[in-house]
Amino acid sequence: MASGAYASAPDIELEAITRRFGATVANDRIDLHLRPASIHALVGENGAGKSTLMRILFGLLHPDSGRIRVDGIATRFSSPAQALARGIGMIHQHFMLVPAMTVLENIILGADGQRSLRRISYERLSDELSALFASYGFDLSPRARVESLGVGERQRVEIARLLFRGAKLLICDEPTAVLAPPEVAAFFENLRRFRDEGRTIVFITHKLAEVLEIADRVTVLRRGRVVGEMGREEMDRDRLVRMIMGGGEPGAGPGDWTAPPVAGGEAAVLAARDVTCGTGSEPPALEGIDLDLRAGEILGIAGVIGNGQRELGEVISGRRAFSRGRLRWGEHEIGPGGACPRTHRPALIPEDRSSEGLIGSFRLWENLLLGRGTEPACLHPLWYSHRGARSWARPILEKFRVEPLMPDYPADALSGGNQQKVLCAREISRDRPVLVACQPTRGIDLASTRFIHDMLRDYRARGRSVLLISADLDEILELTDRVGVLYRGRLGTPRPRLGLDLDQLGREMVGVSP
Amino acid sequence: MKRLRWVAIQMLPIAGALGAAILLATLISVLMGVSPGVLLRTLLSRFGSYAWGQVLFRATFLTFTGLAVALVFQAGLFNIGAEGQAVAGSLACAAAGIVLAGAPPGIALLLCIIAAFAGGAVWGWVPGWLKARFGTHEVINTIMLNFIALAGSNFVMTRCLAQPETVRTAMVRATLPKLETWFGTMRGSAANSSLLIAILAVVAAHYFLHHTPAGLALRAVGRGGPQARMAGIAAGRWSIAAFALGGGCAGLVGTNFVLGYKHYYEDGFTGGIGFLGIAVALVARNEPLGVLPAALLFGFLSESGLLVNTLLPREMVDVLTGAILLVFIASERLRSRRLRGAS
Repeated sequence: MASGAYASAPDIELEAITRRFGATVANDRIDLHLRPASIHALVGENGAGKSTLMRILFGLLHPDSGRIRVDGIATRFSSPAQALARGIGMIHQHFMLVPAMTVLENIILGADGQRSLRRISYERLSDELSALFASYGFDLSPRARVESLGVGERQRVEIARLLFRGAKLLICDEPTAVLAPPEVAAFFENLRRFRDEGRTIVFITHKLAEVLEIADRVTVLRRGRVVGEMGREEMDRDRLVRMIMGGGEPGAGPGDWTAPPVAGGEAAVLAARDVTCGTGSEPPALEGIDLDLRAGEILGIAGVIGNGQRELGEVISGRRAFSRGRLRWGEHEIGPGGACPRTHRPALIPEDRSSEGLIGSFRLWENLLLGRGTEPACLHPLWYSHRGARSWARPILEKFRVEPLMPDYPADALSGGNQQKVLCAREISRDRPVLVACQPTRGIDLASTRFIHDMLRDYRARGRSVLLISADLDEILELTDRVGVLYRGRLGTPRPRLGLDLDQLGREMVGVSP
Repeated sequence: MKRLRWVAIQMLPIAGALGAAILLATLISVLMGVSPGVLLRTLLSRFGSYAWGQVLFRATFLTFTGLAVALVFQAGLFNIGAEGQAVAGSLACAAAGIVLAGAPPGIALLLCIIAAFAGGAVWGWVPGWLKARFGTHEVINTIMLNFIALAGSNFVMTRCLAQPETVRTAMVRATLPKLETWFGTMRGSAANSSLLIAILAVVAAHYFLHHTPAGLALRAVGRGGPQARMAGIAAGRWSIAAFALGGGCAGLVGTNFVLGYKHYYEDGFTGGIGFLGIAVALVARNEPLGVLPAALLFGFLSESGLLVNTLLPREMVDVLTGAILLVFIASERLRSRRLRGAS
C-alpha cells in the first residue's frame, strides 16, 4: 500500500563490490540488490563485512572495485553528503548527535538550505518538526536538549533527522542493540510504516528473531562474501544459523540451558546495602542498591542501557566511590569514600571494549598484563622480558580462541569479537572470586557470544560468582540463576530465573509496574 | 624488503626535516650574501675535537631535559616545566656539594647526584600532584613553577648561597671528570662524564617503560586513561610518578653543569634548555632511546651556529630549529598514514 504522496525509494544495485584493508578482504565481489519499499536484513558474524558494505553505500568508504547503480545508473558517492543528496541515510551504532544542542538544532545541522547566513526560523522549524514527530508517534520535543534524552529517544532523533532530510533509504546499523523490548516493538512498527510509505530499510543485526519478524529479504554475509539470500517465505532459523556459522551445527539456542538450582544458604561473597551514588542536585545514578551475590552463582541485572548499569558495574567492582550505604567484598567492608583494596577488588569486564577495555595501540600481551601488577608468573617482581610475556600470553589467547593468535598484534588490528575475547581473557584469567561483566557480548557475533557464555558458565562451575549486567534479555535468561531489573538507578529484588514471568520483567524494564 | 620499507617510512619525517633545514640554511646564507660553499667550508674546518666535545656537552643537557618531557608524555601529560626542574635539581646539587665539602669524595659525589635527581623530582612532583589531586592543568602549573623556580633560585642565591659580588655559589669539591682526561684532543671542552649518567638514564628509562609492570601501567595511563582505570590502575598515582621521574631527569642537568663543568651553581645558566627538551622529545617520538640521537642533533645544530658566528648571526640556529620542528610535525601525519598503508 505504497502511498502516492511519497516519491519512491531508489532502486539500488551493488555489483561486485570489493574492498580490502591491507591483507584482509572485507568485501569480496559482493552483489546486493536493494528493492524499493522493502526491509532488507543484513546478517553475519563480526568481520563478515556488513558495516564495510554499508559504509561504502553511504559514501564513507570507497570500493577498490565494483560499482553502485542507483535506478540503473552507475553512481559514485565520494562523501556521505552525496549519498544523502540521493536520499540515502545511515543511522550509526554510535549516535552522531551533539549532546549539548537541542533536538531541533541537531536535526537541522548540516541540512540543505541551512548553511547560509540567513536567520534560522526556529518557530517554523519547530512547528514542522512537531508535526513530523506527531505523525510517527515520536514522543519528542524539538526544544529538548539531546543530553537529557534516553538512548531510545536519541535514536528517534537520528531517524527524524534522516526523515527531515527526505531520506528514502535508511541504513540502520544494529539499531535494536540499545532498546528495551517495548521500544523494539515500537521501532519495528515505525520501520513497517516507512516501508509502506515507499522507503527502503537496510537492517543490520545479530538477532535472528528480529530478522524473522520483520525482514522482507535477508542477505547473509560470511568472510566478506554473500553466502545466501532468501525471501520472507523461505526464511528458516536453523538454515540462517548454518549459513552464518558456515555449515556448522547450530548449538544450544537461548533457553536450552538449564541452570543448576542455587545452593541454599551460601554465604554472600559480595553484599551491597543501600548503596547510593550521586552528587548534588542531579538525580542519583544509583539509589538504595541492595544486593547479595552468593558463591557459585550468576546474578543477572537486566535493564535498558542508561539506567545506571555503568555506575553499578563500577561501584560493585570497586572502581567508583559511592555517597551512601555500605559495600562488602568477602570480609572487607567499606562505607562512602572508602576504597576497595587491591586484594579484594573484583575483576571487571567494562561496557565498552574499545574506550574502556583494551588499549588499541598496545600489543595483545600488553593488554593482557594491564592492571595485573606483578602477579602473572611470567614476571620477575621488577621486570619482564618481551619473550617471556609473549609466551605467557600465548596459551591464554589460545584458550580463549583469539584469532589471529599473534601476541604482538596491536589490539585494534583485531575484529570486535576477538577484541572482546581478549578482554574477557584478561579478566576471567585473573580468577577473582567475583567477576563483574558489563554487556560482555554486545555487538559481537554468534560464535564469540557462545564462547564467552561458555566461559562465564565455566567460571561459575569453579565456584566463583558473576554479576552479569546486560541489556540483552536473551543473554540474561540463558545464563543467570537470579535476575534483578535496574530502572532509573533502582534495583528490583532479584528473583530466581526459573519460573520468571517475562511480561512482568519487560514491564519492569520500562518502569511500568512496581 | 618489507623491513627496509618500514625503516624508510620511520625515517621519513626526520629526513624531510633535515632536508628542509639544509635548504633553508642555504637560502638564508645566500640572502645574507654569504656563499653556501664558504659557509660549509668554514663549518667543516672549524669542526674539530673541541667542537665535538661541545656538541656532547650540549647533548648531555638536552638528553636530561628531553627525557623529562618524554617520560611525562608517555603518561599522557605535557611537561613544560623541565626548565624549572633543571634549576631546582642543579641548586639542590650545588647545595649538597657545599654541605658535603668535608665528606669522602666518592660518597659526596654520589649524594650530589642523588640530590640533583631529588631536587628535580620534588619540583616535578608538585604539578603531578596538583593534576592528580585537583585536576588543574599541568601545562599552566609547570609554566608557573618555572617562574617560581627561577625567582626562587635568585632569592636563595642573593640571600645565602651566592659568593659576594657574584651570582654563583662557592665551589663544590665533589666533581665529575672531564672527557679531556681521556681524550686529550678535546682539551678545553666542557664535555664531562655526566654524559655517562645521561646514557644510563636513557637506558634506565627505556627499560622502565618497556620492561617493567610499572612502566606498562604508566604508558597505559597515557594511551588510555579509562581503560587503565577499569583495569584497576590508579591513574593519578602514575601521573605523579611520571612527573616526579621526569623532573628527576631534568634535575640531573645539575650533574652536567655543577659537577662536571663549572663546579659551582650559577644563576640563570639554563637559558632555555628545558624548552629545547620539548623539541628533543618530539623528534624522539617520546621514546627514551630516541632522545639521545635527537639531543645530539640539536646539540650539533647549536654548536654549528656558534662556529659560523662570524659569517651569519647565531639566531639562524633558532630559525632552523623551528623549521625542523614544523616540517617534522607535519610529516609525522604522513608517516602514520604510510605505516597504516604498509601494514
